[in-house]
Amino acid sequence: MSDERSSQRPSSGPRKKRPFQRRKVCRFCADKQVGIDYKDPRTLRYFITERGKIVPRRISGNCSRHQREITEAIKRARNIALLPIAGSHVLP
Amino acid sequence: MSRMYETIYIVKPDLADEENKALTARINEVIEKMNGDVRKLEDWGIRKLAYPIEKLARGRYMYLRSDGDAALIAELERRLRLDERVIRYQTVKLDKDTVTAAPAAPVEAEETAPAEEAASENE
Repeated sequence: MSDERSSQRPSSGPRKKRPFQRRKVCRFCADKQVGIDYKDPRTLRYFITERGKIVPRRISGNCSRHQREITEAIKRARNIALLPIAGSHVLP
Repeated sequence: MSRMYETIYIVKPDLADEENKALTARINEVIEKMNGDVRKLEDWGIRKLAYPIEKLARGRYMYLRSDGDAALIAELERRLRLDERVIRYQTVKLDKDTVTAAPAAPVEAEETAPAEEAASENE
């Protein structure tokens, strides 16, 4: 029993294989020209999901500093309706 | 102590130009009275909002870059809050001066219907 379990563990693995590999380089570190600005929703859109959530760092590949700045910028942009708070809102 | 601030406020889209000018004049007045400095005041035009505010789907974005102390911002925000023509405002303190251009075209262009594009073109 215990042998089976222990043998099964590594096969399923604690870490699932991702269907595709994302690049793990922070694009803001790679290109210093690109600034993070809450007034620029076009750049920020890249870092939100379809439902308007902020994409986590493990997916986007941002470094901690730039993820922090992105988060801040997205929240500011949401306040002034440059970005949606939750997905696309529909007017009745 | 003088600090650098930028304020974005959204006014109702159906506002007449004169009314908008009057509002701008009031803001200038307030800043002047509080010993502040208006560095830049831009009209970004009428854009589609990412979500409805006060049941409005679009709004006129105004960008104000000003110098002053905290009391100025407090007073300015109080005025904006009381003004019914303003539907949203946000002030951000800047660490360093920024050269900001208005974000070119309304980003929601891909979502807007053809009828709405005409509105966004006269920016």
